[in-house]
Amino acid sequence: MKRLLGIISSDKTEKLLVSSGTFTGLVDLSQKKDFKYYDWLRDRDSVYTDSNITSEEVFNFRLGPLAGANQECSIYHLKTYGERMLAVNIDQTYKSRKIEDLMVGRSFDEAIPLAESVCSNFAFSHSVAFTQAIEEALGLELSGYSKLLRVIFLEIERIYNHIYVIAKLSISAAQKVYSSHLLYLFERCISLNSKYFNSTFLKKIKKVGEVKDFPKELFLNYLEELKKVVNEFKKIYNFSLDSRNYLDRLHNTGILTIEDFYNTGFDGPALKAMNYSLDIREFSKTTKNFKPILEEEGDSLARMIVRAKEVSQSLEIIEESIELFQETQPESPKSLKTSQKRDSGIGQSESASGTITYYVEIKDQKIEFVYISTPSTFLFRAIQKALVGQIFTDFPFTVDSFGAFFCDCAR
Amino acid sequence: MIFYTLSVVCFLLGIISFFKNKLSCIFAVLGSVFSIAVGILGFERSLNILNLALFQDVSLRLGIDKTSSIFLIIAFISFGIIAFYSIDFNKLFSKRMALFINISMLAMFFVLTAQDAISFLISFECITIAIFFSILERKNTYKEAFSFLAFSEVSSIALFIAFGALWAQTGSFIIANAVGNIVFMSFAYLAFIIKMDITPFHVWISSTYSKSPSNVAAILSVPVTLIGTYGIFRIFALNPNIEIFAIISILLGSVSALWGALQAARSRSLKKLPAYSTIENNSMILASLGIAYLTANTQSLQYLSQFAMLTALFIIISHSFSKTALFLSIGHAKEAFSEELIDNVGGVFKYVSKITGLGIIIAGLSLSAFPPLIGFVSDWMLLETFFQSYKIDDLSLKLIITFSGILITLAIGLSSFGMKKLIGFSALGTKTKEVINIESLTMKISEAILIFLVIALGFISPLIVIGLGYPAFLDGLLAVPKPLLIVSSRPIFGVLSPTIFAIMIFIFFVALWKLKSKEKDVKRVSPWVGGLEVLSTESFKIGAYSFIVESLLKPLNQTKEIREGDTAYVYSIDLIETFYSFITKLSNKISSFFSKTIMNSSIHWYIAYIIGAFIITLMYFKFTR
Repeated sequence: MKRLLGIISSDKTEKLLVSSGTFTGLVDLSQKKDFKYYDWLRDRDSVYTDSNITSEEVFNFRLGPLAGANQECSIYHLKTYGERMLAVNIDQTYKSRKIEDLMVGRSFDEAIPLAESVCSNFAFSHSVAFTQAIEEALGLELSGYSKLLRVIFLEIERIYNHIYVIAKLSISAAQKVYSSHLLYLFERCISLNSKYFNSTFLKKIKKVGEVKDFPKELFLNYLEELKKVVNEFKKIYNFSLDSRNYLDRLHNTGILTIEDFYNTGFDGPALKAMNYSLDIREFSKTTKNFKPILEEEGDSLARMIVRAKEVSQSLEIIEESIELFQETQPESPKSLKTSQKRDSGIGQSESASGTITYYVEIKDQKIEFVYISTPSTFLFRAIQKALVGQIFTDFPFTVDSFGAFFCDCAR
Repeated sequence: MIFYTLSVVCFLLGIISFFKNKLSCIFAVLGSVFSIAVGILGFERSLNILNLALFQDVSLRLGIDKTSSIFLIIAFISFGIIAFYSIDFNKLFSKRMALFINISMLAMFFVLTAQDAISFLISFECITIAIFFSILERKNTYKEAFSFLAFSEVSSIALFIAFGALWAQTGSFIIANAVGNIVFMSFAYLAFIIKMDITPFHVWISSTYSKSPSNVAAILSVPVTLIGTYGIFRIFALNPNIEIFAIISILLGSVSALWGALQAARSRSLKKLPAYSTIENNSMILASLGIAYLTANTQSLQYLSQFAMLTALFIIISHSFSKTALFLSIGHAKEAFSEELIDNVGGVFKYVSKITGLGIIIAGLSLSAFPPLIGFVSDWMLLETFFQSYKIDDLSLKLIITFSGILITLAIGLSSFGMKKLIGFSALGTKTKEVINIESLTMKISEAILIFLVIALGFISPLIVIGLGYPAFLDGLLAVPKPLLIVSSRPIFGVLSPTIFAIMIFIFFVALWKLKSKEKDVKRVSPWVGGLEVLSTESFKIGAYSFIVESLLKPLNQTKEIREGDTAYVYSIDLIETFYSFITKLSNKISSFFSKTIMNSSIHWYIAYIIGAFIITLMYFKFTR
């Protein structure tokens, strides 16, 4: 399975940024025929228009830009003749801050906060992917010590994001007590971040060539508190699985098929819920025993189950990493051979909702060009597909199960 | 007698002067006024107008009693307003329209005063024929006119059989003699519920009402169905002890009311919606009458029986004026926009006429049981009738009435759903098309009179109770003085004072108006949704409003969501229509088979047919003598 992550046209030639698990890089434009979604990805910052359904009865039900159902400023154009969503076009442009343009001409340290501000929920993942791209361009390799720290923080970020997405899903399904409890756990997670790492969303931790160091015993204390949160999550999550009313709302809702993957190229828990994985942790040396969590149904329930199981999996990874971390000493980053230095680099990280990829070109220690490929870009496209044919009641159960963010999509 | 003669003369003059539309309609209005006068006089004391012996035991008899008086007054208020409306409206059609209206009014006058089968049947058929031709006044309406004719003739055949049974039993055609005649009762009942458009005999109405000129649709909805209601009143009065008809009426009435309301809620056509609402209203009358006669023979339930009878009369009044107002107002809107779909006549209040818009709003609200309008009073009384039926001892009857009450309640809710759709999208909707200017002074005056009636009758409903001869249902309680309180049960349990309600609403309305008028610097802004102005392509359409009903009740509506390329739409149908379509196709096939095989102009088959008929006739006379 391979994905088209982006279309790079930094100079006059156009290249494709593709990924197939073991390989991520630029390929020739001639391969575009392999990707059905090439055209819309090329125009990813405009309104996606799938079809123009018409009839005297059909009208455009516009949800947004300011609507109770939208947590971010955006518009869902829902073509309908009542209840049934016949076609969905999403306008994410309201959240565009042109972060890629803002990065150009800045130093690496100035650009990191911009990468972190693409989407606060994925702030650490963005900073990792961005700095990794710079490191590749500069010919730097992180030390084992820093790599372990990177894994720990990425998994911490995954835990609170998954809890947040499940909380949103349960809010939509009117599970008030459960959702309030989950939101409390989410708040607990981010307040632990603040308490131990001085940043609610793990910002200012990743730098080029290093990860901010913290005392080793601090991680042990943090782990104890995180375990309590995860155990509480597991307890109430298992309890929620007894509610047939809740599960009925998610079961068979927003089903995606492999054909939808070929048409949109999404990844993350949405793909894992269909029994496929492109999780880059599978191919990372730092997480070599990693086995992705897979489900088969491809619906909202399956996506939620993947996330819930990943919470436990992430805790295990954190535990193992902290154990290893206790025995590892800090080192400086390794400088690669001069021949491996380039003017451009590609960096990736596996965020809670899918792979984040940065392609950067540098010149004189400054950013010359950036292309950011975010999971939400593909997920909103998948949401469009998943919503078609469903009734309005299923709208929140579908949308909230993807964990996509407009700020992440529009950058 | 003088008013009776004047009525007939006016209608005849109207018929003669049909080539002068205005004059003819004025005669029709005058005839209505005299007919109402006849009704008022007949209500005071019964009158025998004519008793003409044709043969031995066969005579034509015309007269008025209390029942016919009530129906005369209601029908001819409605008819008179329709005739006045037609002065301008008929200009859109040929001059024959005035002729057909006068004929149907004259025939209606005779139907309501006929006391023998022959004059009843002749008048009954005259109405059918006049309405048939008036439907044809709109182009391409043959199918609809013949559908109407087919159902009317089934009704006529049933009446023929009923009157045959009457002759067989009594040797006369005097309707008052049909006491305890079960065959007469059965066939007359069938004939009249067909005339009332009760489900499942309603399938013709959606297309016929929709295609007919609007004044004819109003006649079909009110005076014509009143014939059926009048007939049911008559036959129940003659046979009050036949309990099974009362039970059938309750069950059939409630199921039919729900069906009508359901179809109205689903409907997207300007005139189909009120057409289906007609079924609902007439079914409510039937159900209420059922309770009235089910309880009539039990001494302890006399109060309930009388209250149910009063309820039926209130629904008749409410339906007659509200529905006439609705048909005339939407007819005006339809012609102004030259459109048939509710979606395409948006902005009637603003762009056609304030009176017309108000006509749709007030009539629609009345039919949605909005206080203090007459429709609210009648629907409250109907629900009270069902509530008070807990007093009936028999458990099975209790269960039947509870079940029917549930259906009626659902019907009232769905009716409100449908009417709000009509009001919201047509009277108060967004303009989608330019308005055609039509001469409409008399149309507006007629609509204004009906608006006044619908509002005023709710306000003065205690007076109507007194006028109809039921003062026992009025009382006073706490701050409400006697006789402003309508009481549904004794000891007092279940009360309503529409007058006080109306006064309170008026006070609040005036107070709000005053407050609003003080705010001189109110800034008006364009409506926006989610921070942006609403585009024309983003307006909620009527299909979307109805889809919830179509989707939830998929099996009943045979709902199909069709997707053909880039075109998508919803298709649904009245399930009962599929049954009639099947019958139509089957009869077409059978008649086609006979026409090709037996009646195929072949001389051999023709001779065989004649000989066969001759032999069967001989055998019949041989063995029956």
